[in-house]
Amino acid sequence: MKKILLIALREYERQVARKAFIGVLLFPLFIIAIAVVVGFVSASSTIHSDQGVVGYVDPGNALARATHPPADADNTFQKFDTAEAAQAALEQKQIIAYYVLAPDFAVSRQAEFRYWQNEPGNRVRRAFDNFVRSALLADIPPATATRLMEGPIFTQTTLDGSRTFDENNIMSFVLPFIAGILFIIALFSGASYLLQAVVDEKENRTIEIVVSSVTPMQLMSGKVIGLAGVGLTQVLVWLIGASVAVFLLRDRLEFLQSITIDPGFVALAFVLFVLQYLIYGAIMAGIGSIVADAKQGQSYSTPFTLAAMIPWFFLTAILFDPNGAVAVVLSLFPLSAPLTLLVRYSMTSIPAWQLVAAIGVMILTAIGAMWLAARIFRIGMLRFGQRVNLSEIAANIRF
Amino acid sequence: MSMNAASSSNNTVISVTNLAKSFGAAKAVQDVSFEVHAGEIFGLLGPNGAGKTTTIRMILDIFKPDRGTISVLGGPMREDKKARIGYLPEERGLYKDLTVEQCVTYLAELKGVARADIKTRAARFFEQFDLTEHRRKKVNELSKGMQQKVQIISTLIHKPALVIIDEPFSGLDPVNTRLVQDLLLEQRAQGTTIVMSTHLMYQVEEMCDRLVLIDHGKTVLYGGVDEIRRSHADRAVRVVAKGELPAIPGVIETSRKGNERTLALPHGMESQHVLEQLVAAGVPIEQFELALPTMDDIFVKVVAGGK
Repeated sequence: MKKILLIALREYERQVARKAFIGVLLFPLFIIAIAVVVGFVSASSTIHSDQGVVGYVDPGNALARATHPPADADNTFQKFDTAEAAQAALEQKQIIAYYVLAPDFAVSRQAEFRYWQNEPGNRVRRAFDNFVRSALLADIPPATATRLMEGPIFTQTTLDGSRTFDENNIMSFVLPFIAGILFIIALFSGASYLLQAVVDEKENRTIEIVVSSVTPMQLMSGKVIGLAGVGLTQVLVWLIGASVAVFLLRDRLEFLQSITIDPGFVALAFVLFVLQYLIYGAIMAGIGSIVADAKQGQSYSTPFTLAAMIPWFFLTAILFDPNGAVAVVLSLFPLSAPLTLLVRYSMTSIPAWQLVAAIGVMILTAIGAMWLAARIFRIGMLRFGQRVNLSEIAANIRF
Repeated sequence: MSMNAASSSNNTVISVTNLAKSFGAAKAVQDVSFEVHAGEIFGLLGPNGAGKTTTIRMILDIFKPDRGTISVLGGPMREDKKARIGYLPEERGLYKDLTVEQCVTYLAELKGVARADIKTRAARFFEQFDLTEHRRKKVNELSKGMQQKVQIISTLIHKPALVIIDEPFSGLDPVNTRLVQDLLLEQRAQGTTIVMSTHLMYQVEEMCDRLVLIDHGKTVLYGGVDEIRRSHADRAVRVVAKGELPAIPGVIETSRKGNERTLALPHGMESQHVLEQLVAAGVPIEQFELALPTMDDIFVKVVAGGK
């Protein structure tokens, strides 16, 4: 065990000291920065065309008792007596658009929306809808009116009462997706490190010296554990970064205030992450030992990395029916289980037997993959500069 | 030619019997047997592709043999025995991104040596090998010869009882060759058993006590170095003497360089008889010895004869 830890520690130190590792650490920051820039650019363009006075012509006086928004709101509403007057104001750019309500608007709900060149966005329509609602709710006590204006908030509770889904807590839906993306990034980068590490050991010819001190299994386990540590460090740094960001931006961004982290989700993500890392670690170590160089290794590993992506291809099916056949099958297939389970977790209450079965299958797969990889490793590790045929592996797998 | 090793004794460090190993259709080792005795330098010889490296890897349990038995340090290879073995493979390298000190420490730790011991032992080796001022350099900043020295230190730092070393002198200049040679002889004097694979036959003559020669995966020659040289002597004597030699019936002078002559003896004639004849004739003899072939001659003869 001490030797495994020594190898793990050495692999950890080596990987964390790499410049590329810092790049991976900063990757989410890069994504967030892009998102912020894109959001800012699109927000500033919409705000520009959506802000301003909106006119309305109300021959039936349906909006007489409507409550006007405060003057500093994005949109305020100005009444015109005739459509011509409103049109003139629009042409002179005093208003950004105007509504012409039918004389029997209170009954027919017919209205026309007119604008000049650029169609105002949904925010303008929503603001006007609220303005109309305020007129319709004028007779109702203010507290009730406010409740009606805000509409219902649905909180779904699972039958066993263990989980609730709050419509307002949008992050509970988004978080598993973000976790899933980070999962894939961490996994792929970790897998390519490991592949590289094994190929390096072959290329720098240290492998034979090392296996005269430790068993191939110890060498491989050490490397996989060391790289799982690197992966966990990555995720930990991301989590701490995200927590700091949330803490700092809490007051400015309203949606962040609704974030609540479900401990069940964190625990599940952790277990899945570790198991997935072990499985892929073993696969990559096995591949690394039979290929001649890293480039060849990448092409061998592609089918396995694609297998982890399967849930993305079936995302619609999983979202549409999170307890359906596709979702269950993908949950029980060890390579696609982590992502599927994380996505399903946000949508539904996963039956306990499926969680147990999925994690059980992953544990067995991890053990089996390590066992197999150690044997393949033994066949391939001392083939310098040449790859090993699959038939040769099959013939020699017995030892 | 098949040869069975003599029965094992307490003196035996490695015993290999009828070893065979194939990779697919290629028969790397077909029938190899030998024993290595405690405290000797044993030569593992053979032309390229003879099966030496595969044999070593089977001894170290890196490969499993298809057939045959192996006993190392008194029984089958086990994990705990790895700490008592120092191995320097032919395909060797170091971690280029580490410093000399880190590299030696890591490899010694894998052999189970405590950090404090590594420090004192490494310091002594660095001093001996002139590496003290280079110990904080990265391995890839060192010359090939210096890297080779670091590898030899890594092979010996855990004080192994058995050292298996493949081509120990490759990449070394004459000064460092002498250094490594002395180090190995010193190790033998301390009781370490050394298995050495080399192409340098004069090194075998100088250093090895016994040897096995493998060709095409089979043992073709096995025994003590002197014994082998004697058994391959072509019934000839080497005589250094001034003046002409008397004619001895049946004896033919096969070569002459100045005063040095090689005399071929007929079947049944002892070298002692030739010496008596020369002394009786009053020849001033400066040197008289059996004309032993060099290991180089024997190697070429045996390997070429096998083809």
